Amino acid sequence: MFSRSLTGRRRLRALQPYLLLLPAFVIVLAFFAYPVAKAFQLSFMRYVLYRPNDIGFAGLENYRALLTDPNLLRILWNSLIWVVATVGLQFLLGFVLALALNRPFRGKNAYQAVVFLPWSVSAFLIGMIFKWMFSEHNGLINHLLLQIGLLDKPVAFLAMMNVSIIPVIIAMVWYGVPFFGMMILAALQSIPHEMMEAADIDGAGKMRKLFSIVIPYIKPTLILTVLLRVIWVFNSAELIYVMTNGGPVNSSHNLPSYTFDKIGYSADYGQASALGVMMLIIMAVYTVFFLKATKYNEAGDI
Amino acid sequence: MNKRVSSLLLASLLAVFSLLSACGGNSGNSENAGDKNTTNNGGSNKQVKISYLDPLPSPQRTEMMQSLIDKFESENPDIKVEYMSVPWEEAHTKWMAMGASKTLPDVISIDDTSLAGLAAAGYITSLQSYYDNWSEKENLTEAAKQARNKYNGEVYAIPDAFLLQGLFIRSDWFKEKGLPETIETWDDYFKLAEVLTDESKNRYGISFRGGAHGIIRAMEYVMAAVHADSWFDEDGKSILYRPEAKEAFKRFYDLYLNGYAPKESVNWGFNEMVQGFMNGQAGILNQTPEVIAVAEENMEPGTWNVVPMPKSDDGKRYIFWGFTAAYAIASNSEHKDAAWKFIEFLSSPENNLEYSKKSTSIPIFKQNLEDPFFSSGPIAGYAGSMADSNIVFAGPPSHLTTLSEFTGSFAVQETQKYMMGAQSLDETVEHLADYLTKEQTEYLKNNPQ
Repeated sequence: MFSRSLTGRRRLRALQPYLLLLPAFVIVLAFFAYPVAKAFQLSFMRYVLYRPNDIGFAGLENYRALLTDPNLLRILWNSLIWVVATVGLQFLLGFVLALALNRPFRGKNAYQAVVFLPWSVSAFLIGMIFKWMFSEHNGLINHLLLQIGLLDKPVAFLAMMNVSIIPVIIAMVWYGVPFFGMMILAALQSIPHEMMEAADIDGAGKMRKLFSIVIPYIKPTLILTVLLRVIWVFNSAELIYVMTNGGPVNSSHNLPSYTFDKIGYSADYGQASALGVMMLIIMAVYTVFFLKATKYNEAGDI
Repeated sequence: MNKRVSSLLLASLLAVFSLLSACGGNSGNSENAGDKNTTNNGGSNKQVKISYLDPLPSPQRTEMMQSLIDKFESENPDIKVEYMSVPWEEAHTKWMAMGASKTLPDVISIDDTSLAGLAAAGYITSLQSYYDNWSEKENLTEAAKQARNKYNGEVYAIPDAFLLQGLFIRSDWFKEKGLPETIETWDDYFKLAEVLTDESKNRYGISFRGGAHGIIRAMEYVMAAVHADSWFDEDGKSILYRPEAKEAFKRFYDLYLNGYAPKESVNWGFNEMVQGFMNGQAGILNQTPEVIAVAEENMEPGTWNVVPMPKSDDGKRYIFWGFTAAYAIASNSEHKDAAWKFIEFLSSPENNLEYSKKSTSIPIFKQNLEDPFFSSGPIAGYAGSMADSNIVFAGPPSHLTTLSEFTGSFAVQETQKYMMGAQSLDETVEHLADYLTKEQTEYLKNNPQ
């Protein structure tokens, strides 16, 4: 009797961690594992909403169709430019912003509130505003360029092949700088004073302090924010959708906006899922490589 | 090691989650069937209950439909109608999903592009026998008789009202130049595009649609120019293979290439076109009647008007008119007679007139077009075309399941390449014609006429 209840209690004890984990586990299964598995399954199926009588296993057909799309190279190239230019500029400007805000000055709070504002504006609104600013007629940018004499005739930036993606990138940079600014500022403020003082005593210059203390110390934050932003920007399509809808001739489409456009009209869920799986793979591979390349696990120790 | 594994795991989880949130837009919320009518207190046991699914909910429309339902219920105490709605963006998915699970409401409002698909899948039932015995069918306009509410020659839906294209014009610009405020023929249209353009004033003739579905406008003109009532010849070949069609295609896109439309219009879709007209960039806008309300709100009275679509050189109007909420009956309905009664009620001349007025669309009955509401002001620009019996239905081939992929995506890329000078006229027209011909040939193979 006594021993049985003891083993029972012991068993319960052994089960306890799993019981406590169960709710989290169920959530992950229901909202994460199931949709991914379903998307994976759909990606191997013929599933066009307009053809309800023709649904079935399609093998690698969806993947083949995607990989042989004549526009794919162009779109991947656009995606690369989009991610590198956007995240690069956001990071650079965000870093500068954080360094500038990391010291006290008059009116800092008000200034901080203003520069962090873009982050809280809806992407659709930003798209509309920038589209208007860059428009050929009644547009602010053209107006300014004409005023200072750089142009003698208004330019339709959003209607030019190979140029139309630039205004969208500018809008996206504007939108994302505060994110980097905030994250990096938070990290900067966690740098212990003593370390900076010690560096001062040792006679380290500003640059030396930046590269030997500040950057190594906040490296984990830098890596994680860049990692997250790349994924985020890679997946983001709303500004493109609002400002150019990918045009003219796909020259401003990235992978998600191109797919959204294409699948939105064809209702081909099989192909959409195949693309989702492909994007997942691209991002997973990127994540692993990025973390390896930046030696994330060793970061943060000075 | 532990730290390494867990941080990797965390990071990849984050990556995957943000991907999921980006891809998860299509899941739809099938639980949310919309505002349900809760007035059912089910007293008598003989009462039949039917449901109606409205794909165009808006406060005004829902109120109007509800008052029509109330009127119907008081006239037919033995039938109860439950009003449900689904947002337009999700409507098509909803119909297909409900059709597949045999849970479609008894009466559904559908648009003409979806009709063929729903009928082919067997989700909606033929109304031919009801239609044949319908006392009002002789009073329908020519446009209503020719409407795309048929599948395999049988009527599957009764149109609610029509939307069609008309030409919004800047009457003040016309006055300035001393031009008559009308556009009689397509030749006039092209001439006016040139005359109204004045780049020094940032004024252009046409609010051009170079983005999604712009090809439909171009094809409308091509059909008028070659006197065709379809995008295809009898043998299933695209009319674009004809040399005179290529000529017409060129003439239409020359509007852009010659600078009679703003440069940015290469990307323009619905909203941008309307804005382009409202903010004074363009003098002529080809649009449907719902834009009247927007124009009334944003433009000075007397500066604009709507005139009917131009005639071709054979004196006929080749136009495309369509419906967005025609009434159909689900195949799984258990009360088809009651459902028809409801449709008959909604489609009575009296209710149709009220409905058309409130939704600024063109009624389906001849006598309703004579109502003063439709014979004056901007709306007359639409009613005028529909009252004319010399019209040819020249719509896009909505029987093709790939039509919206073509008009929304494929043709946009091809025509943009042409407008940007990155592809020749011959190649562009050939690509478009090849795509359409392939789809049509496949359709004809599966659906012998």
